[in-house]
Amino acid sequence: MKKVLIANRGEIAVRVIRACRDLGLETVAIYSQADHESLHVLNADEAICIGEAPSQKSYLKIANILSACEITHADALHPGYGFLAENSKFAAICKSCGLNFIGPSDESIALLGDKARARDLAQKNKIPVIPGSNGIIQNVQEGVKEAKRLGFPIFIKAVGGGGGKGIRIAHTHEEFIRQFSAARIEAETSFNNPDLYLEKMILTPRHIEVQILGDKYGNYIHLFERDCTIQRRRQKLIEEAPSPVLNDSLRRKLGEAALAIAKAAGYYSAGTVEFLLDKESNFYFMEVNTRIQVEHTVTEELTGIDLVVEQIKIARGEKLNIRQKEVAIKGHIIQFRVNAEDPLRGFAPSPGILNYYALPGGPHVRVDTACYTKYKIPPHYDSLVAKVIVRGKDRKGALAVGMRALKEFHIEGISTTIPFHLYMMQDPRFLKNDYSVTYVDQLIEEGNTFLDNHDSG
Amino acid sequence: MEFEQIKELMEAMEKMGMRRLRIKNKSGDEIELEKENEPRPSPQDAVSYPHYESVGCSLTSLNSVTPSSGEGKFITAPLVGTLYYAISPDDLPLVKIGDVINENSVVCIIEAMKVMNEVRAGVSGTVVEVLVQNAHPVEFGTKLFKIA
Repeated sequence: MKKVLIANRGEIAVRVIRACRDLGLETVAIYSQADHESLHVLNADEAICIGEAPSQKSYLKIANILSACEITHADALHPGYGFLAENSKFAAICKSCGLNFIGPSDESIALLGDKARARDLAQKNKIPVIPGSNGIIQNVQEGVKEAKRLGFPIFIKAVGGGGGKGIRIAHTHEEFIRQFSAARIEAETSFNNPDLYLEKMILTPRHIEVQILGDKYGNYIHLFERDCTIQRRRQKLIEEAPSPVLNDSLRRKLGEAALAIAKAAGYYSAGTVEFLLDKESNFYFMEVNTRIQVEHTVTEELTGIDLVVEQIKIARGEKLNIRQKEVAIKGHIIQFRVNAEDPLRGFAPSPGILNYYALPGGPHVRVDTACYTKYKIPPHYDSLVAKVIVRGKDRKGALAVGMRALKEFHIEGISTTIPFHLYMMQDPRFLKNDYSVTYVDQLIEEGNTFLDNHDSG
Repeated sequence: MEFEQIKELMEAMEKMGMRRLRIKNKSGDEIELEKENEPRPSPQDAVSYPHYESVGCSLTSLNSVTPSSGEGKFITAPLVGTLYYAISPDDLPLVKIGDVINENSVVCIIEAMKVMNEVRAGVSGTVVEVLVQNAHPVEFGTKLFKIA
C-alpha cells in the first residue's frame, strides 16, 4: 500500500490522514467545491476537487471518487464514516477496480448492514436480541399481528437504516397502522429499501457498544465498551468508557457476544457491536456498525491502541499483533461532541464563520477537529465542529478535566453544544448514572435550555 | 544572467512540463536549459497535485498550464479524469483557438475509468485560450478553455 485516498471530509478525514502519515503512506484528499479551504485538503499530500457542494454531487459521487483514485494512482481508499462507508456496492466496486478498501469485506457490510439479517445472525449464535419480528414484515396486517404479540410500544425499523435513522414508534394499534405506511415510504426514499422489521421498545435502556478489531486471518480482539447513553433524538452527544454501570461479569459477556457475532459474519477491520441494556441489566443485540465510528477516539484513549492505524494494517494483510490480554482499561475517558447547534433553539444547526476558535489543551485532553479560526462551516454537511476527549483516573476525575477543557474552548461566530455539556456535567442524574437514552429528550421536552447551574462562557 | 533568474526559469519549465528551453535576454546573454532522462509524459504516469501552503488559495487553477486571468467565461471540467482534446490520437483536436462554438459543441473528451466522456461547451463564443495540456488529469471544476 503506498497511497491512500480518503473518501470523506471534516474531522474524520483529518484523522485518517494522520494515521496514514504515521505509517509513511501518501495521502489524497477529495473535496467538494464548498470544501476547498478545508483542513483535510490542506493536510493531505494531494487534493482533487470531485464536485459541487451537495453530497450527492461530490462525496457520494462514486464515479468521480474512483476517477480521482485513477488519476492520482491511489492504491487504497478509506471511506471514513457516513457517506459511502457502509455502502456494500461501493466496497465491491473498489475491490473490482483493484483498490484496497480499508474496511470490512463488501459481503460482511451487506450482511450486517441488513439489520434484519444481522438480528438473525445474532439469534443463531445465541446472542440475546431485542424481542422482535422474525425477519421482515410483508404487510400491515402481519405487522399488527406481530405488534400485538410483542406488545406495545413497538419500534418499526427500516432494514436498510441504522445509526438511529429509519425508526418510528407506535404505542397503539391505530398508531401502528399509520406509522407502518409512513415508515415504508420513508425507508424506500431514504435507504432504497422498503423492508421493515419490528422491535419491542425496551423502556429506559442504556446504549452500550463494544469495539472490535479483526484481521483477515480470523483473529479477533475486543477493546471493551463505550457507553453512549446521552443522546438527543438517537444522535450521540456524550460517550464514555468504561461504562459506569457494568460489572466485570457483564463486561466480559458483552465482549464475548460482540466477538461471537463478528466471527459469525466473517468480519475483519474495525467494527462496533451495539447493545441495549435494560433496567435489570439484561443486554440485547441491536446492530453492528461496519465502519470506524465518530467515537472510536474514546476507545483509543482508553486502551492506547490506534484504531485507524490498525484498520490500515489489517487492510494491508497484516496479522493482528495485539492479544486480548494486552488490551487493558486505563482510567476513564469521556468524549463531548461539540456541534454547531444551538441548545437555546432546539439544537437548530448554526453554520457560519468561526471568528474566534481557540482549542483547549494540556494534560489529559485530546481534541479532534477540522476547524480553525476564520473557517466558514459549510451548511451542507454534518454539524460536528470538534470532539473533546478527556481522561481521568475515574469518572469524577474525567468530568473535572472535561469541565476545565470545555471552559477553555473559546468559540465565537456560531452557537455550539458546549453549554449543554457544561450543564450535563452538573446534572445530578447524570452524575449518579441514573439516566437512559431518552433522558436528554425528556429534558428538552420539559423546556430545559441547559443554561442553569453553570457559569456562562 | 542572475542565478535567481535561472532558478525561476527552471521552476517555470518544471511547472509547464517543458523539457528544453533556450532563451536570449536583451543584453544578448543566451542560455539553454535541458532536462535529462525525462520520460515522455503519458496518461499512465503518476501526476501529483501539490497544493498551496496557505489556506484560502484557490485550488481550481491547479492543473492550468497557462495561468489565466480570472475574468471571462470558462469551460470547466464537469468530472474527474484525463483530458484529451481529440477523439483519438490520430484525430485533430475538437476545437482550437479562434473557433466559434455554441453550447452544444463537443469541445474535448474526459476519460474516466476507461469511459470516454464528451464534454459539451455549455456556453457560446470564441475559444481564446486553451488552459490544460493534452492527456493531463483534471479535477471537477478545472478551467479548460477561456471563451470570449
